[in-house]
Amino acid sequence: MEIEIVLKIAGIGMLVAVACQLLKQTGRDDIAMLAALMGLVIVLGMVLGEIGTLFEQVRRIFSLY
Amino acid sequence: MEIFKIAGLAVLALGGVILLRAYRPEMALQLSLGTGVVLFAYALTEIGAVQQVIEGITGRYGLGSQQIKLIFKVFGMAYVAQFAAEACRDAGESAIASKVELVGRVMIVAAALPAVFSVLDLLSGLLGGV
Repeated sequence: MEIEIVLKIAGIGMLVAVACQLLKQTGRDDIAMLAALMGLVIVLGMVLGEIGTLFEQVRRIFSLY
Repeated sequence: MEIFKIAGLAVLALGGVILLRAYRPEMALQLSLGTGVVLFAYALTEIGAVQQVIEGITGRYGLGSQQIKLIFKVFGMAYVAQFAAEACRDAGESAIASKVELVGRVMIVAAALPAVFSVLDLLSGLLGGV
């Protein structure tokens, strides 16, 4: 039950949300877009890694070779 | 006792998802996916324990270990297909979700066909070689 991944994703998500709002207010919409994109890429990498390990476990336990 | 931890995690993640959905919908999706992965991983450890017990029993009494293996294979496929389909439906893409479920069903039927044929052979044998 490692909830560390969930907290990490929530933290990054909120950080990116705040950064984008800030950048939008100061008029730099393109940088806000880039920040959102980078945040999404980082979080996707983490989540896909977790999904990969989950599916590997499923394959091993249910012998889905 | 573990169930309280699971419910707590779900509610915690729910709060985060609702908050993130207002500003960054794609991040909210990632958060719900991450929570789904953690909960499914926990369920997997329980299922692994159950599977060891069942394999021990079938091995000792010589029951149809082939059928048990098939049941677990079908269960695994349904497990993964349901994970993906629910994630798509949660994001609002019910069309993709139904496609994933359709493919999952087709693969399960394909995996279960040999067992059906063996049952039919057994029956025809019983009925005197019809």
